Amino acid sequence: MDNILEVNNLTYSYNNNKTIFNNLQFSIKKETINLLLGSNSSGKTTLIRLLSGILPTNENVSIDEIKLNKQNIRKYMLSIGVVFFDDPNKFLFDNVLDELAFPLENLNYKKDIIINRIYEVRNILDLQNCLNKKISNLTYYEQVKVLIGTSIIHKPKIIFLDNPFSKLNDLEIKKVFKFLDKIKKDTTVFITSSNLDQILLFDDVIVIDNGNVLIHDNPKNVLQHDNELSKAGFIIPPMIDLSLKLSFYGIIDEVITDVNEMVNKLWK
Amino acid sequence: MEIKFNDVNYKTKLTDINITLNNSKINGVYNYNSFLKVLLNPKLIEKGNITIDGKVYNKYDPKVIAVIDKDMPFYTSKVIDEILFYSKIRGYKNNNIKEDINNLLEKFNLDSNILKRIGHSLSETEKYYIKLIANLIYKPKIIIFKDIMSGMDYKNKKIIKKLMEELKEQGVLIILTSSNSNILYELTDEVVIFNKGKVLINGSTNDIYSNIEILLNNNIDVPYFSLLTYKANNEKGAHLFYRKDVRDVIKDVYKSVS
Repeated sequence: MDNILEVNNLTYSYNNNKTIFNNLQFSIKKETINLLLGSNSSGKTTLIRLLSGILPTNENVSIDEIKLNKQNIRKYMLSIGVVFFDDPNKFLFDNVLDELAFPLENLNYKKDIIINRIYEVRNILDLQNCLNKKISNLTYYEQVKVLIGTSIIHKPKIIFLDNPFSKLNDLEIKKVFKFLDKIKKDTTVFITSSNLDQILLFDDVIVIDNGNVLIHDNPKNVLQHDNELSKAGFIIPPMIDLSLKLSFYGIIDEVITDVNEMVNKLWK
Repeated sequence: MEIKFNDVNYKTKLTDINITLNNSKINGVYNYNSFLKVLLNPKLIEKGNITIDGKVYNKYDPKVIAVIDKDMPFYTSKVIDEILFYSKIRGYKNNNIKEDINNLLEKFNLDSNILKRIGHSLSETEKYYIKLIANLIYKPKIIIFKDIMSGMDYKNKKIIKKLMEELKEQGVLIILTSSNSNILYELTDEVVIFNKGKVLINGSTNDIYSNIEILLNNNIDVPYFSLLTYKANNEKGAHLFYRKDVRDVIKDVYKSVS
């Protein structure tokens, strides 16, 4: 099995009213970092709620062949990690150690195992300077790292990160991707966003529009659909837009997001 | 409507600030933390003062200045209550409030069923619009949009852009605070750039982002296309104009390299 997550004919509507997903169908490969791209209010957060068992699904979702249903719920929950970054109550405690330990304490892990695991996560995410701090004394970037830490602490097979990047700058996002690259061997990563700014950093991209998958491909191929993306309401980031248009005229042959690189390429 | 900073000092964070913002322009502010802080709490000012339409401003009044902040929590559970809550605590009364709400919902492409929904079931963008409606409904004279655009898609960005123009026409003083120069370049008419407690430069947005040397020397974020033009002209001897729209940039680049 190359796929870790399978979604089959998933349908969901709010209060039998507005249909959000209509026979949604896709699968996610193991050991990849995936972007779920959807415009504002397209149901990204709702999808994460469905995939993490918060909203009811009808046995249409499985992770590593474990179907999400009543019997499997515990096994299923152990194989996922989830963070909603826009949730004002995303932290349960006021300090980092308690926050990281909680998922494992909740699963009745022994204390020495918990400590070991926290050290492992500390090393993966470069949390050396954060462990003994209060959450309120962390920068937002550090908070993001801690939250990712809580999602991977129990070694899940996949993590769902809902809108993690909206308040990070480019440099911080690149650093987060370095960590995710280390994680992805064991834990597949599934991230939602409404913009394409970091699209080239991902392995695979799913674009949803009107409750269905519009495009599912690698970033470079997704960008070839720039007209469809614009029609679906996405903004093509300026440098990517320029690259695509310049390659249309045969002036360059790749997507360049760095201004220096672009200038050096164009005016040799 | 005019906000004037007269030799405003606040700790080391603002030193002798003299700026004027008025409602004939959409005003952008970069590195805005201390600026916003004294505007929302003028008692912090140690020397100098702020005047609004010539009158000394020494107490924050949310009836006059509204801040639209994406990160503000919902105070009540139901959407309609949240909207009415703001008007209530601001002491605003209006018999046509329901009609005003519906007009605003329409403007933002929201279904009126949203009023019956629970706040936490809304998407982030819907929440943002509800906060916006809650503030617009009591007609503040000054509106500060705090870092609006992160995460907004094309359609919604256009709606906000149009809204700002309409409010400007109605005489509302608009301030957009942002740490993203691309957004300031696109949406504002004038911009104030703070650096190390002083105004580094202020004036027409187009002028400022086509003379970026001073910004680069002070490590200030500059729009992508301004940087591209600057580097091409200065390092490669190209002759590009400073452009906002990618279609204009591509024409210039095409002429220059082919």
